[in-house]
Amino acid sequence: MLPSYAGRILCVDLSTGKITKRPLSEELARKYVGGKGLGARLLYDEVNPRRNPLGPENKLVFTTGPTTGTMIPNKGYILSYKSPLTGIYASSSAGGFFGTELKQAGYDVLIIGGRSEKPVYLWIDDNEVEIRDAKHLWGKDTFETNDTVKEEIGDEEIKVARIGPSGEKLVRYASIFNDYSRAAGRCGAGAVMGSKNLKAIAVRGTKAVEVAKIDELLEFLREFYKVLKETYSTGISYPQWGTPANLSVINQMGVFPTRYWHKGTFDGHEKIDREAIRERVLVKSKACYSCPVNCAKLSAVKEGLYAGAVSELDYETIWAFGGLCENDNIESIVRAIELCDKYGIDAVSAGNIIAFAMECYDRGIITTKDTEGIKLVFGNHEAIIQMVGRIAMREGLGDILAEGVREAAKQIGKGAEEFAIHVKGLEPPGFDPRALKGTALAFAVADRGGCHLPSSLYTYELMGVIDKDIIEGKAAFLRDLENRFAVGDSMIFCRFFRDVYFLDTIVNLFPLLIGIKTDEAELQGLGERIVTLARAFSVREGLSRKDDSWPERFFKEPIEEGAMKGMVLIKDEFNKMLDEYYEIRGWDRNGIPTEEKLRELGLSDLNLGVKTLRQKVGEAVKG
Amino acid sequence: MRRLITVDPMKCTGCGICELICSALKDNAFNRRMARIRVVNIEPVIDAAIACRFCEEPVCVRACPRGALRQSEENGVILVDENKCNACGWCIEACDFGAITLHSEKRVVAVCDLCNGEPKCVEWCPRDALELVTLETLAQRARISSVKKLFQEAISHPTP
Repeated sequence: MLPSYAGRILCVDLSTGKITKRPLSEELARKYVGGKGLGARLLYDEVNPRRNPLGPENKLVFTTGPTTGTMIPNKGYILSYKSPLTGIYASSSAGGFFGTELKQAGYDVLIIGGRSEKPVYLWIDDNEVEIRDAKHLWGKDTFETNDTVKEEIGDEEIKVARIGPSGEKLVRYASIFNDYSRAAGRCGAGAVMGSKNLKAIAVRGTKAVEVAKIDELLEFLREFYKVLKETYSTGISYPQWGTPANLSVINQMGVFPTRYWHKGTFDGHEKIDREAIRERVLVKSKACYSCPVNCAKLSAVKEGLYAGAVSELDYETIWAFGGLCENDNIESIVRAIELCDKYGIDAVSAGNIIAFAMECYDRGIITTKDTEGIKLVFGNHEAIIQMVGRIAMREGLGDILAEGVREAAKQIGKGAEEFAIHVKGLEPPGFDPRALKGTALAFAVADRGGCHLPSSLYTYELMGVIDKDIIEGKAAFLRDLENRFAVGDSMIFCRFFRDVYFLDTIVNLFPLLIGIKTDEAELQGLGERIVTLARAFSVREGLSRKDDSWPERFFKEPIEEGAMKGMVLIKDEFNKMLDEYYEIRGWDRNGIPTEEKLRELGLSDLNLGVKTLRQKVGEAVKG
Repeated sequence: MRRLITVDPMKCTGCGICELICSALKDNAFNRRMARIRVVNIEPVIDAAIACRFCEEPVCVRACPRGALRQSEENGVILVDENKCNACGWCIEACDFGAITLHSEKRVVAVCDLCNGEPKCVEWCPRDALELVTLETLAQRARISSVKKLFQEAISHPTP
């Protein structure tokens, strides 16, 4: 096998208890590299179309990458699966130490399928793999589970990926956690794990990761560290402030969604911004394994109502429980995030959904009768904390909200669907697309639903690298970013290195790490292959153009307050960008990859599924 | 004068780069379980790296029944004779700091050798959390900082 790879795939079928190890072929590694690429391919091959994401046929595909376990800063692993929140392709990644441990145990890939009859956990001790009873762990929160498993194994240094009670209860945006607070967060991987009755995966990996040319790699790293230090984002912004660095700037620009997507600016922003964090709650910076950037900002509440709360603060989660809920109490946000980590749910979706429920309450669609006495008014931080608990345990109204905003709005009815904000069922992150034209396109076509990460295009519009007010050139810019990051996600680079990892960096790195040469054209092709493959998976699930859009509300209701007041999505502009995007992607007008394109990308073996679906869609259109 | 590697736990982020560079240089591969400096992460808040403290009259040397360990008179570094070591682990048991690594592949013990006086973990630590210092320097620093705290007022507003 190529250097830097462990060379093996570990497969666990929880229905039969069968554990198999098979080699990772060099061909597959070369074609898909690792991480997102390899995960997308294996998912496509392993999971049959149109299966229940919470049924035994869905699989969790953990893929490490060539950088995992090395000193090249990396995020560990990517998890690919069919999402129970969106019903399409999903990938979630988590930093920390788990990915390294898995690779050091001798596996590039871990695939988990089937469904155990009773709660179990998986114990991977290098070559020895065992399915163990987890009756005593069921119901425990993520922290307790982590600690109990370590105690039981008798090794504090093992790494444990696990779910909390929310994963067990199939909250559709439950996450999988490793270390204390690193999560494969968005899209509901925790619910998939829960549906399999799998509580935890414990790993001890003692094998070394070897690379092609270690001396030259260290030389590369010496230079790379200099670049990291000299670059604003990785040298100053992330290390000093973490992701909340630009909260106030984003607020000032008027694209900080506030009061459930009504306003673009939050009056209380100074109480939740980076200065407030530093002054009131910051304890120290933490880092993922191998990363010199230490973006994680561990925070603790010292006194008052939320005394004792400890969690890591990020822009998105502060925004979701802060601006979107019009809550300026930073201590309550530390608690809300801590509860999400503890129960095991995605804080971005949770914050979105609570703000949505506040909007329902505001409009009188739900009342204190539905909330069992909770006054769900905007800004009520105590209500937020109570609701996190209800959702996490599926109690009362929380049971409906645990379904995600798309499904919850449907169940609540009375017009709620008209103001629920999501793309493909995924609640979006904290940047208002109505004032950022390219971002509107990027979130709308993002492979896992409304998300900023597949492209990061919002950053370039916010920084003024590209003009946020025009539509020209956005589709091509988006394609290039998506391709570049798809390659990065296959190497297992962290997205926060977007300003330092370029295709030429990877070209230089390849021979030192993997021992083979590549060039930018080949990497472009790889990126395109991965994006199209993820698309193909979702198309096979029924995705098409109609899903690549925003709720009507964003085409009708402008941003109500702030610097971007009056901005609204314009249908013609949006459709023009979308047409252009499909065209340069080699997808047809309905967003389905063409056979020519699939052939060009070496994906003609996907042809049948896509073709069948194209016919089906065609028939449906004809009526 | 004897020098050792210390860590500032408030600066240490737990990133493990010290472990990675150690195994890369000593063993040409990446594996924290081979490293002679080890990071302890106690969630959620504590991160600290630990390496040999080069004690006077080290118990690890005394504990070794095969005479595989000896202390360098020059710089206090514990020298391991890999031919004599049979991984019995008595030195590991004797060390109060867990600073002796049982090398996961070679199955002999490994101890920090300060990389000929220029420890690479110190050099690569991204937060300057690691430092090569003498005990005298540490004591001096503690004295100065405690006195500064005590006389903060007088230092910031000097009056005759």
